[in-house]
Amino acid sequence: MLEFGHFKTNTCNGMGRRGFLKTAAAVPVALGAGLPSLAQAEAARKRAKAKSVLLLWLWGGPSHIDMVDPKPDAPMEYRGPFGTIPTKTTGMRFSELLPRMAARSDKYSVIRSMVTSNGGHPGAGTVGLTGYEENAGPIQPNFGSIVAKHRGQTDALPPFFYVGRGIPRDLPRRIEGYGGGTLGKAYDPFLVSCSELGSVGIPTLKMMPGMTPNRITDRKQLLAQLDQSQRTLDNAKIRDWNRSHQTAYGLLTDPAARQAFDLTAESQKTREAYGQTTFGQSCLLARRLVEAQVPYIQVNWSEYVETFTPNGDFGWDTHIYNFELLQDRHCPIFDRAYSALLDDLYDRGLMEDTLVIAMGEFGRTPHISNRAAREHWQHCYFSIWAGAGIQPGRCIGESDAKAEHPVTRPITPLMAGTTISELCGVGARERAEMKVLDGGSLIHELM
Amino acid sequence: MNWIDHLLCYLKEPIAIVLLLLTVMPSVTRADEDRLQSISVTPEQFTIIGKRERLQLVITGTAIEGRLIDLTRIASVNTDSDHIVIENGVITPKSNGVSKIQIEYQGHVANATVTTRSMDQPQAVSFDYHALPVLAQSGCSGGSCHGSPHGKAGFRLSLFGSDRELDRISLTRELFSRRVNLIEPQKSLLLKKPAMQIAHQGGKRFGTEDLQYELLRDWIAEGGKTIHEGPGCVGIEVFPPIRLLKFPQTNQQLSVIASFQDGTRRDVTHLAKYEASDPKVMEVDQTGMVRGITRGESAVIVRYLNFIETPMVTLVRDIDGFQWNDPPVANQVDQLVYDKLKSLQFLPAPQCEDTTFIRRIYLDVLGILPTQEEQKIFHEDSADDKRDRLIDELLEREEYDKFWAQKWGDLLRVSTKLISAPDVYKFNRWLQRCIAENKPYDQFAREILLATGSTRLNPAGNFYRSAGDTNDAMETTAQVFLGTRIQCAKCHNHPFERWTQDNYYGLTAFFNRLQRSKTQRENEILLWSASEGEVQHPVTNTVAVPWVPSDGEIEVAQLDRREALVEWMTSASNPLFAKIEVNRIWAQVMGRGVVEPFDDFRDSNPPANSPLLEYLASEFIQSGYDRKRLLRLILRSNTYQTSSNSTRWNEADTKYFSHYSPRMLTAEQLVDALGFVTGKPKQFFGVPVGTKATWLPAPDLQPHDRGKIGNIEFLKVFGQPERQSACECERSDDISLGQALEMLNGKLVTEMIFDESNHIHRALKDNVEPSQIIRDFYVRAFSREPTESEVKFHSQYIGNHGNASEALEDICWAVLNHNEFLFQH
Repeated sequence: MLEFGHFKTNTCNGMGRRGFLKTAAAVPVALGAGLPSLAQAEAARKRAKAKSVLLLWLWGGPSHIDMVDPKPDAPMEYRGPFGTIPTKTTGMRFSELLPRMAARSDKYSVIRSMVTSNGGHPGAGTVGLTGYEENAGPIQPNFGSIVAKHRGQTDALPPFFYVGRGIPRDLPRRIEGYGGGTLGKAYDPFLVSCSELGSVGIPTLKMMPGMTPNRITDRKQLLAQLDQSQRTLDNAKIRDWNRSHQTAYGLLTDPAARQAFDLTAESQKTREAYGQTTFGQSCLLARRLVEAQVPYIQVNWSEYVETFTPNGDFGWDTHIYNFELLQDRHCPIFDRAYSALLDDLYDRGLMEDTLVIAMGEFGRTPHISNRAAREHWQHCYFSIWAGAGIQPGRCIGESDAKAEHPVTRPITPLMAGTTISELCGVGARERAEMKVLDGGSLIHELM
Repeated sequence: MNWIDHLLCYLKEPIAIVLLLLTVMPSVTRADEDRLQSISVTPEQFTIIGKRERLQLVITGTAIEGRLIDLTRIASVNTDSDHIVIENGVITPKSNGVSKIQIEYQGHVANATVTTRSMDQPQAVSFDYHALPVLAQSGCSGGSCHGSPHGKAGFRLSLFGSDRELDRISLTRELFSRRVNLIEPQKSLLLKKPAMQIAHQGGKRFGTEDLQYELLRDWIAEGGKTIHEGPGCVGIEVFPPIRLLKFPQTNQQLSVIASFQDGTRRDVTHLAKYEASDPKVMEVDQTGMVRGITRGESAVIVRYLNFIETPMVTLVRDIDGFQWNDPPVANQVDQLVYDKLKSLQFLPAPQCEDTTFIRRIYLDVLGILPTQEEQKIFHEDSADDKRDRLIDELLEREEYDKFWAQKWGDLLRVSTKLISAPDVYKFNRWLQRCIAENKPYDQFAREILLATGSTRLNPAGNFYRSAGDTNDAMETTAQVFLGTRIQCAKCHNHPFERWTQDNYYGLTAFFNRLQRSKTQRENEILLWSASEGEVQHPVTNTVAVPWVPSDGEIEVAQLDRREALVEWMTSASNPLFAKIEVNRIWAQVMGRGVVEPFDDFRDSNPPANSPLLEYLASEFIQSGYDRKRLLRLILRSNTYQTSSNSTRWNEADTKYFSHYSPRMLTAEQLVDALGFVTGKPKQFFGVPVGTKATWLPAPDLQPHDRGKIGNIEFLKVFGQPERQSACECERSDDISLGQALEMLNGKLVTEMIFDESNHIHRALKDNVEPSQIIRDFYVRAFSREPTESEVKFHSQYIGNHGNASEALEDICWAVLNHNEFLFQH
């Protein structure tokens, strides 16, 4: 249990002076977890290093060896057809499919020694998003739900968003760990979808048959008049409810309230920079949500893992045509969207307060399959971290010569989740109180 | 001589005299207010052994009217001995001897004698009794810092110094011993970090002048020794154990004295850690000084080593114009609630109206809204005892059994995830039967906890399927029947409680031998007790001995160890057993427990009204654990029947039950209420037609499509628990945007309102007057008639709208979205 002899610096300066100044005032000591009120939500936000988290969920299992961990010297049946290019990080090379990202590697850090415990999509998805196996007990909350619970309800928008077509799934079933888990449905994500043209769909805001915004407005006015004529009740809960009701009403009827979802407010140049793709525009939408102070946004690359099967929407599960798809579709889209997102966040000065992570549920077999593609590989994969105090320009962890296993300390989704929550201000004590992420440790190498 | 010099000095400076007078003035006026009859000091006799020790005096004045006032930092404390130095009531020894101390205030005098010994001998700083408490007190080994299970920034300590071996390694061995510098102590990381001489994420914990720094520095300078010689600590004592403070005198000095095996006592006031259980009421600083903030009660959690004491402090204030109005008392419950309110100067709200009462009592006892006929009968009854009779009547109804069985289903985690569907029905029916029979609570607990044999034949045994392993069974039992969230103690000593890791495994030992065998019948489990099998303590690697909270380790004669536990649990020596259930029942109808959270009993979470809880528990025990009788007692009290309208005399009160606190209907109540008002009850899958949401045996009988977030179950959005944990906290009462969207534009509500066969449309087909339909809405949703102006206003809306059917749909929607409907009040 003890990690004897493991240390990373000689000075013990876990954190820079500036970092200290930001957090020194915040030694949270409070007994009992009350309901976070608006003021508390604001205070929790202030305390957190990462005001917002943006998780780019590369659903289906992106191929680490063809992207950020190429092995040009591995045998032919491993290395694949792609050449490698240098990045801005000394000694780190990417495959040639990610040129834009390679040119920006001083803005993020790459972990090459991720390991997960499950080799199937929904199972690994749950591990990837909650840190635990589905059958290990009650379904644990998604990292986003933990952050959402910690921050509490804010006035304007829900605290936890899914940007994408639906809850990540494969053909038979969806991920169990998509939402609130043990914290309850109240912390499920709020789903919005985004098309490649940038039109945003919000299922819960879709009018029911027979309803129109005008009719809702009529009804709301009726309700307001009723309030005047009737005795009014008052306590904190009722005030909370009235606020939620008002916000929901605004979202349903008032275009201004939905401004955060309106991508037409962005310049054509910006929209093109992200790429006119579902993922690109989703990333842009996510950035707008960051600006609207949403604490946690998960952008789902796809709903289904499969690429071609019925309903499939081009996930990263490339059991066939791996090299073709990566070269012609997936990598260009990802490379462009990720780079544009980083540039945009930097330009707007949001990077310091925003944690951006890109990862999937596992990697792909380094050994090329007999279908000339790659299968699932949970023993080694990658994640990319940027912003919110993450030390950029690092290459963390190392895989063996065939990219099959880490040769350094394996890094697990539980550690990723613990690191995310820690940066969001959910410290060990808060985690213990919420009974989440038990046994998780931090990825010190990122700090 | 000294003070004359001072005075002369001031005389030279006229401004200083003014200042002097100003500083003296307030105490003069205060003296007028609090005329004292006597003063006293604690302790009166004490022996300080060793030059590192000190002593905190607590000086108390008794006012004429009997109130106690802390004078520790106000009274003059003098001694003519030069063996000691006194400052702020703290005595620091200088040399061996006996010193007489005179305390004087307003002409009253008290005396103390302090003996100082062993001053001429070196006293080493103790790792266990100085260094570790300093780290705990300064927050270093707290749960959010290095005391977290994985430490912080690579440095890990045990939580509040509970594991000295771990701390010994971390402090003196880890990282090549670089945390302590034995040659140049002041250069140790252990000092430079907390003193912020170098960057420290946790900030400055103490300065180089502070006692904490001094103790740690000397400990390092003396070689960082971690071997402990001498007697061990056996407990602490806090003075005063209970205190009432009245504004403006809201300060109280505490003193903490530790006793050792050899009978010696040491003052550890300066080494203990203090925390207020309700930080809104008061704050406590590192020196043990309590400072009140507002009216209320709070415990101070005093920790030294693994010992915790929790003195209670009550703060009262004279409120301008407050006059106790001697409200009528229905039973002893009211008397006890009013005693507390009177002392804190809150006025109870008046009785609620009959219309409010009938809605409230139906929702609390049956979970549903009263029908028009039921309301009519009640309102036409003009007898004085009609409320009491209604309570009795409702407690005998079948809906009561089903509704309260569901509450137990939540606690016992009845769901198809862990128990097969047929067993869910069986278990649920068993629970309903227990409630219907009004089975004594102790017998109920016994039948669940001691279940053996086939789960088919004995549905209560399904408890051990939801709680599917030894630890789970123990944790669930502790939580449900002992009101203790003991999970923390699995890995370390409980941070806010006396519970230690040993206790955790001691309790686990009772459940370890329980076996769960599969039989050849599908989904059947056979429960039986093996005759051997022990629990291994993970840290000490010893066999855990069966242990219970008040009696300690016990000999178990029975073959089935659970019997010994349950015997103790339901015996008189366990006060918690009855308290947790009465508190739970109280919370279920009052919206808030006397102890809140209502399943979290611990010394550091004191009850809002302790005599009330004691009384309810003793009534409960005397009645033979009769739950209906207890409910009747509570429901008949004026306290339950108060209005929810707060006044300026009680609006500040949220925990002493001066007025009824409105709360949102639970998910199940809401679905039933929506169906009732619209006349289109929701049908559920897998249960007989007509089953209400408040009767559902499990939350997961319906194969809902959770793949689509836009279409999630209404019940889940409103906080229906998945029944994954035994904690009542799983039922969320957090308000979310999703709930508002469901009410505004959700599938369930919209379909109920638009349905062609609902009340509105049926009534319109039958040519019922719209004003009558509106009346119906009001009576069903709010349990009251609309006022004339309301009828007029709605009729106008219909008239303006043109389409009566659409207008009525809108009115129905407005009624359903109104707080008067959504909240129980």
